[in-house]
Amino acid sequence: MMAANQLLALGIISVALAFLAVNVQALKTQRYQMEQAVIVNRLAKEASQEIRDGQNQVILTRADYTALGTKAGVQVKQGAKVILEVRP
Amino acid sequence: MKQRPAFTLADAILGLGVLAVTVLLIQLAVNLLNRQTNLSLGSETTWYQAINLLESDRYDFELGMISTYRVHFVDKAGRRFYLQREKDSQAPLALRGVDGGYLPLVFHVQHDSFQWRKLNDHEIYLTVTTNDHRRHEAIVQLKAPRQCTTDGDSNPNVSHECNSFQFDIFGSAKRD
Repeated sequence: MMAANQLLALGIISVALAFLAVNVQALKTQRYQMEQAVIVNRLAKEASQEIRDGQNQVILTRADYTALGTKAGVQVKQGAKVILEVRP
Repeated sequence: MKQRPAFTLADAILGLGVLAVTVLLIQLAVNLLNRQTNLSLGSETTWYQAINLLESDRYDFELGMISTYRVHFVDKAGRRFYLQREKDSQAPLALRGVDGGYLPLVFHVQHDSFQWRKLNDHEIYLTVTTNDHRRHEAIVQLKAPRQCTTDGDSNPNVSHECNSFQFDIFGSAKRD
């Protein structure tokens, strides 16, 4: 009977630890996504600023991201995937 | 004689064993999480916070003198600040006031990695590499310099203050 109680306690602790690990992973993912949003928005801001300052076309590359700015708008891509698009 | 209910030696040993396994599990989990996750702000976030500060309305920085080791900024109150390439490899990238003041902006910066290039009178390109081998870059948009006018100029939209600074050997600036 006592051994069963101990094993049950061990089981509960294991479940709690698994829950903790899943939450930490979720936090990591969320932070990555937020950092990505910051980088992408910043790139778009810089590209649009250059266009506003009179350039006809601007290409900014930072880490995996490339921002292409023209008078028609700004597009930020990661590889071929468009992450953000802003049109005037 | 009636026997009192109590745990046996076997129960006690099993209990200790389970406790040992539990403590070991918790220790392993905590170590693993500590190694895998750094829950403090990432260097990317710190970098963009620093850039936001340089561009913020709180200071309204204008670009000042640029030398080999320092980039100077002048805020709306005329106070002078600078960022410099640190000689000490452990030193963070910090905003320093010519008349005192020290605000660390980016920590764990690689030695001599802070670089800059002036793009025009209100834009400067800054780059720094942190110890996690990430290179951070930004085109910092500062306030456009105030224009100088002659005494006879009647344009009310143009300030009579001038954005050219004369730096003495201690790095302090005086408006013309």
